[in-house]
Amino acid sequence: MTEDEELLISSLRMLGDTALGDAELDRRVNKFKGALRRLRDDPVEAARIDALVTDAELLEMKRASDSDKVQDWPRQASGGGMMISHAWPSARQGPAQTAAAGHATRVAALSLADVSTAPDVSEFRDFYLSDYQGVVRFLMRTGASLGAAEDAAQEAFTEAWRRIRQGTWADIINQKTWVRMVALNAYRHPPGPPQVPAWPVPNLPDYEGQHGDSHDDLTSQTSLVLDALRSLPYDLQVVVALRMEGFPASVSATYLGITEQKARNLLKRARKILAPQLEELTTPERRRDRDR
Amino acid sequence: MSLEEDYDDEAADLYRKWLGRVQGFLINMGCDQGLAEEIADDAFLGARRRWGHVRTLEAPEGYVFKIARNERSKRQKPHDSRAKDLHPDPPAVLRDVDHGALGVADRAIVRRALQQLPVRQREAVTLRDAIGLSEAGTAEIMEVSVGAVKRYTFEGRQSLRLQLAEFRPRRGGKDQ
Repeated sequence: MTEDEELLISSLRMLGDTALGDAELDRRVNKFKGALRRLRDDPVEAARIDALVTDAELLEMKRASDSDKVQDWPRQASGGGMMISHAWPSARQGPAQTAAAGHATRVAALSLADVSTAPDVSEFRDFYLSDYQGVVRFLMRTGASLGAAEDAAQEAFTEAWRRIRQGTWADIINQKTWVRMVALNAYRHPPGPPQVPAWPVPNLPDYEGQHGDSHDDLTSQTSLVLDALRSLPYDLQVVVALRMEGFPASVSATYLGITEQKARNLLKRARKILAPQLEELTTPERRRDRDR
Repeated sequence: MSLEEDYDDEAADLYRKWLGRVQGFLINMGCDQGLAEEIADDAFLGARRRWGHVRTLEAPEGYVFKIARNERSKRQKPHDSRAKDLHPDPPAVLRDVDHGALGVADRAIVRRALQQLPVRQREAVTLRDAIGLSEAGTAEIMEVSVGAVKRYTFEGRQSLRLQLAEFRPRRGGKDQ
């Protein structure tokens, strides 16, 4: 280190610490202990601090998923330890086959993964089995087709797997939120050249199905709901999908970079738009009319 | 003593040990004293809310710095681009200061010079040189690679040296 640098660093060291005197430090520590007690008793204050922590964590997730998810994919796909990548569903299969076969193959592939390079396969497998369908469902509620949702979910779980191998998985506090955010980013920015954006469906298809408890009826009702969700603008889709997953407004606010109040307003707007479209699913009179 | 109380005590110990440096970081980043105190307290409270996790970290203070950095960025980002206007060039402001008083004015001079740096360089130089964190710890807080931290620190130091050259004591004798 040159003399100049030493001089500079010693000057900077003067600024590193506000050097509180003992009395001032004691006063601040006592004040801090008081704040800790308030934090236990006052749910509003606790929520404020939690929101601040969640913001920091979500921002970190967003940065991480924005920066390296796509670039790392090809390298992982050719790696021996990451066998999940070879089980992508074939485009020639039908959607139902693809979903079932793809899921089964991926679970089987996981059990064959190279344990020597996989520090905690069981932890990942448990997380995958419990959350994979949830992530796909979440993405479909934000407008993704089944295939696109599965692709994006796989990318997100691949990233989760990479973190487990790196030993940084435990650093993520809310893993369920994290994997959904990474999946949503992967869906919005898929690898390869930019795709033509999916515009909202201008008119909903006519709904001709009968209401009841059969599998066909449930399928047509689900598709009606999904179509209605797809007809929403993107921001509205995200707040509704996150709400349906049980996340508070602060999560969608942080993800979209808006205030919590705005997120709540978006949710209200979305409900207003969806209500007339889904009325026939909820109004008993209309159901009776159809059944006649 | 309950687990909650144990956690409170541990968090208070961390607070006592690191408060000065977290506040120093925030002030160097451009916060006034009041805002720095407010953000620092909130950051420690945030760490306490996650204490079960934070206490297991190798460097729990890094978590506090992360929250503090994020909060500062949220509250002050609009001002970052005009930091140079808010904190004018130190030589221009302090050129006429009596050189005998420079010892007293040192902190102000260096701090003003720091404000001239772009945010990333300011963060890197503050965390590395002023606070004394490792390159890896700084990279973790800034969420960049170690290589990027090295680059930001190098560029920041170089820029500071140029700015502060005018105030450097001359070799072998008195100040000019």
